[in-house]
Amino acid sequence: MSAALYVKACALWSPEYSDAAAWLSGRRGAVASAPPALLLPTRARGRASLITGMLAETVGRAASDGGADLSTVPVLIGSAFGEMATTVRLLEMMGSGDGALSPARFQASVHNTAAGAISIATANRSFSSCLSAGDATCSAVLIEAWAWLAASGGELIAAVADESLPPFFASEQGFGPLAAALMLSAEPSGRVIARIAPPEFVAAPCARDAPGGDAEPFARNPAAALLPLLRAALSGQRSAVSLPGLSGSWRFELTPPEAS
Amino acid sequence: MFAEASDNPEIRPRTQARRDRTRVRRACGLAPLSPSRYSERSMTRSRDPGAVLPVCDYSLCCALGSSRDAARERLLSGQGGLRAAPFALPFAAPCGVVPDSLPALPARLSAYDTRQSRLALAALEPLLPAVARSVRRWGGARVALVLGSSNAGLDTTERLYARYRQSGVAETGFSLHTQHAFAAVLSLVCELTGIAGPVHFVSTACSSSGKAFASAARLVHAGLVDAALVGGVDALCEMTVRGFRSLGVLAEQPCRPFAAARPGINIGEGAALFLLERGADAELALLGTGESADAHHMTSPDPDGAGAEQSMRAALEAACVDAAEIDLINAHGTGTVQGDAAEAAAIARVFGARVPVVSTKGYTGHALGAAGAVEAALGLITIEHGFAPESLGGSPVDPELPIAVLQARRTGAFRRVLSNSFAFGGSNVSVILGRAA
Repeated sequence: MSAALYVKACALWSPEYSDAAAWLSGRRGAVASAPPALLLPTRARGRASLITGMLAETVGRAASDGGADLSTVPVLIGSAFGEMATTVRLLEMMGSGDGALSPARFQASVHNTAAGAISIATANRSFSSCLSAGDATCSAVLIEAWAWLAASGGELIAAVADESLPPFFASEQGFGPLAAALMLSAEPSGRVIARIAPPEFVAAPCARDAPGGDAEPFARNPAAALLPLLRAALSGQRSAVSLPGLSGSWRFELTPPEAS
Repeated sequence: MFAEASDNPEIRPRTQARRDRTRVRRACGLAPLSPSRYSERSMTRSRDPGAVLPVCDYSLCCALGSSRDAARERLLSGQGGLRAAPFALPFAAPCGVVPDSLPALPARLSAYDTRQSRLALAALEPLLPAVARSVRRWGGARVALVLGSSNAGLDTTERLYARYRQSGVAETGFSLHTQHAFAAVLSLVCELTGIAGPVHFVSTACSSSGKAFASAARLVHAGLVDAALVGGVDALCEMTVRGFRSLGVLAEQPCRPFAAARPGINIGEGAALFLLERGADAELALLGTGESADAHHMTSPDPDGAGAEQSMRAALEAACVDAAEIDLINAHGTGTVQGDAAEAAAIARVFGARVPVVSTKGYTGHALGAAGAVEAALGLITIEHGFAPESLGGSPVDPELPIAVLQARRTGAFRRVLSNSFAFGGSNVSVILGRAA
């Protein structure tokens, strides 16, 4: 197994926080309905769902802050539920009139919509993928990123996001929208903000504490499982973070780059 | 083997780490690093046994039959499995529906009961003894579960949503987590097998389960696990049938991939699972995978097939084989005018017109996120039983396509099969399976 991963940049967007620095300092802004998502062309941005916009925003920010070339950097995305709002719109269309669907909505309903939109917008033909593993989505993305970088020796942007659940799923515990991204590298070259040791499986489940605090609207968002790791990476302190697995949990030890 | 050589990379010589990385790059479908950085490039044409992942066992449930043997018999007879859609539609839509009843879930897991989970169970049941042996041998945490799906539990959600629209009351028996979400089938399979290692669905539309092979191979080659249960599952959904209709590519007749008169796609369903295990004594193996993106359009392929070409070349590189060593190509071949033409152009550039090409979607329909796994299983049947099926519906072949579409069943030795899967978002994957030795 490779010795370590290196975090070169972190990004976050929610309606309450425009970036990771604002979230880390608890500096809430005016609630936004959508991120700028400037990575996407104007027309695509206008058509994009909230989750695709959030992912484009955080991937673009992580690339910019980490110095990655968006036309070549691999992009790995995770989402527990994916394009839920678009899916429910299609379900509504199926029940209306003759049940004909909008082709634009249908093509934007797949789980990898954001991965495709980002690839097309940046003319990036390299690896991209999209994962889902429920509450274990964040650990799954980090493990897949680990395995990919063990093979490639380059850089990769890993992003996670989920949007709020539509009313049909109202019986489930609700949460606010959230996206977060990490720019990761297999090598400690350039500006590095943290080193992550190899993941360790722990049979016991980790406490599902609300990582941003219960007061945050996105506290129960599956993507919020990544927030303790973001906080640890940005803090510059040595720490160990546990992320939920499907059974048990995955422990990631972070150290500041100078301590590694 | 790689895991043994890399257990403590911090203390091993730098050259060993470079060799390991080169081997892992090959095994994962990545181009080798440039000769100026690493001098091992010249070694990449010799087969590395550590890069081959033995397939201990596999299963198949699709429109041809709910078991591997049933599917093989029907494939051998040349009969397709397309039939009328099992739901009311205002247009004709032949679909690849699994013909038999599916197994019921154990009572203690009834919360997970959907067609999606029953398809997964139908594919899992024949593999339970082999998976149990693997979990005993390595421990549950050293076995991964990597599946591909596009729809997750949408077949159940769409039925319940229709009732919700009429009543305005959410279904009390419905659960997002145990019925709609991707994680539902993951939980079900982990409960039934004791798998506790890395677990996820790849969901990249129609390339999902092909990419699951690539993801699982990475986990093994990186030393994170020693075995992986890999595959795909997708149940037929009304939304996807209507969705492809909205795109203008749904056929009202049986599909005819690569034919001059090809009317479009038929949607299908299915599941297939494969147990991959490091160092196992098996006749069949995953030899390599390649992935790429078109970066062109959400639903239309790059007309040049550049992304498809890139994924096939990467798979050949990963498997350390030349194009001439591939005995059969199981094409993505959905039967659309644009998609078949782009894929044929890419195949011709990589393989010329020598390698026979078959699309099995005339038998199974397009099983979406499960297609890569279903077609990998059909590829293994070809290798094991020495026959390649006729590309059903393909005659007369489009004379504009510069490839050798199989117009009659062919028997003989097939050592290596390359299977393509291409998807919305321009996601491409090629998988090479073959004899292990």
